[in-house]
Amino acid sequence: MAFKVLVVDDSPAMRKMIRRVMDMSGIELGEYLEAGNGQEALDLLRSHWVDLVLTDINMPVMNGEQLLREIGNDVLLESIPVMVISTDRTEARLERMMALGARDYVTKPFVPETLGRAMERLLLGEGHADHRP
Amino acid sequence: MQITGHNLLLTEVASDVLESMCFLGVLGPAEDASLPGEEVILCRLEFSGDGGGSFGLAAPRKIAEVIAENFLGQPTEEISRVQIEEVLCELSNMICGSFLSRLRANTIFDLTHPRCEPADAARSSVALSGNVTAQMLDLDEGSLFLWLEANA
Repeated sequence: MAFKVLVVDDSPAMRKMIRRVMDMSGIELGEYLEAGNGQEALDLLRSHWVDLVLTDINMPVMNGEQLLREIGNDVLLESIPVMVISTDRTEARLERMMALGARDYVTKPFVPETLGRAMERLLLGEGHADHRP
Repeated sequence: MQITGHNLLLTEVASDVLESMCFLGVLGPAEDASLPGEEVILCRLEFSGDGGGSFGLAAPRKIAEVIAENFLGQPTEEISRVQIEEVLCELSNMICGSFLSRLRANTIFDLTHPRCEPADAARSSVALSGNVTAQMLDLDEGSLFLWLEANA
């Protein structure tokens, strides 16, 4: 099965790096969509169905927290699993993002295998796991 | 350069980021604490939360190219100056975010989007400020300079 994934990050370098991790992990990729902030992501989600959203938190225009709120408030989008990828490893941030509906939280830096396994778990529907070091 | 607990944490965090994301080993703190005289690419960001400040990273062009090559997984000749800057910006974001959340485990910090600046500006601001954690790190390929300046 080929999966459709949306990566939301204001860093083009990080979007490229995540694409590389996906290619290395062996996850069959049907479509790889990219957005530079939450608003661009919402615009894409309203015209493309995806199997997984990976989002950063600190972004201009609309941050990851607001994106999670928007997805959670939209009946057409709320079932899409969202994984947060952030440098912030504080318990407060993790709890806030999970309360907003994030299904997983991976901290940067990560070794590629950690992110690959986390994506596999969500795409295969095995639910939440905590990947903080 | 005085070595403090903050210096050790900054070294540990930067080593973690460089090893995990760029497959580059840090040899340790550099003995020579001066900024390199060659062309330097510099990134800076601001943070706010329980106290604010700024973070900066300066890398000689040659080191920046190696970092970008390893991060993006493509040869240097295929990487543009803009892409090198984007990688250094992401590196700054990761090192600063990771440092702050290890330093203050219960505080949420917001980081601005990193931007590249002329190296001379950074030299001046680091030299003038008295509230800076600054660390030069040795890598196989050369040295990398990092600093974090807390607002008074």
